[in-house]
Amino acid sequence: MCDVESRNVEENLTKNFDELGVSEQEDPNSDLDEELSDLTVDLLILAQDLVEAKVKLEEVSKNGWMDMAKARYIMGSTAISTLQLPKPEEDSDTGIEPSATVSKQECLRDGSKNVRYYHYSLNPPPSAQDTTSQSKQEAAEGLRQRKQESNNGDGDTKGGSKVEEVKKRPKSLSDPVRWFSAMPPAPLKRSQKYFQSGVEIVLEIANLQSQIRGIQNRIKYLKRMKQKQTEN
Amino acid sequence: MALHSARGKLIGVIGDEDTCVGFLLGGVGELNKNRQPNFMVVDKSTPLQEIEDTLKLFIRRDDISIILINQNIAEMVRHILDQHTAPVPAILEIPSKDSPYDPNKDSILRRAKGLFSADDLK
Repeated sequence: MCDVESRNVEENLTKNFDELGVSEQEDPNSDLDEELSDLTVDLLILAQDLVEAKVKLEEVSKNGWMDMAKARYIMGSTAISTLQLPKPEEDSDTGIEPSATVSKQECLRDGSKNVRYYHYSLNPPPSAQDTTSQSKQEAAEGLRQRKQESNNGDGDTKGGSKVEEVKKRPKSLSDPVRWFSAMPPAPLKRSQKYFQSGVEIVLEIANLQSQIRGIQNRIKYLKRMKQKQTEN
Repeated sequence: MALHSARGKLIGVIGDEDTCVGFLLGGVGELNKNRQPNFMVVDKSTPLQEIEDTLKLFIRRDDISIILINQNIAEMVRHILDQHTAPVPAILEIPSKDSPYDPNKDSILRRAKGLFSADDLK
């Protein structure tokens, strides 16, 4: 009984296909449609991940601001503000460089190899040891150059310029928390930790956004191809 | 600029005071007497033109890969964000202390939603 019914259903289905004038094997848009539907599902998943990541960033930032407020209560209301930030006009030998820098790389998305996006990653901060060893090396080279010049008997102006080059120290990385206090309170350090993890979440968000953009571009391309095929 | 490319790209910040101070504590800030800062503090008295000019400047700079902007400030310069279709720099709308994150206002998600119309689902 069930076999007869299923055979009848199959016959009806094939009749419907014949009426439409389309057979399963000859559907030109099936590959495009399949890729479009896969990409749409990926897009929805990534959009959800993006919202979750931003909510996570909001939580982390709130905790950071809370500890910043506690530090302000301890140190004074104007102690932690933009007034304490070093100004570009100040003439200082050591500049301030970021400890969090980013590098990007163009990648192909796993699974959907036609989707290109940029992957952002955090560069490791240069350690203090590297800067001190560099400064020692430069100082030693400067001394060697000075000795060579004294042996060669160059003019005073050239020797003076070499000495000046040795005296210029490389820019050192200062901990941003020191801008506000020489002995920062614990809440300020905690706030810094929260925002450092916030920077990592920012990179996660940037990567998700980049993937979403790549998928959007691919979907637009596939829609154009589909439209051309239906017109033909 | 060659030094920058060897060192890595920067994260720019356009936000209220606490957002800027927070991310500067996180280590993203760069300040040098020869170069411009990679952050801008926006308060109630900041003119809109200044925010627009700073955002356009950050977009033009080749040493900034990511720009963080508070969502309430992003609403004021939405027209610039909508015109920005290049993948780099990535502009991220982040929540501020005063206004929580609203996914309905996020330009990335709005663009994704607008990709599909009722005809596409037939």
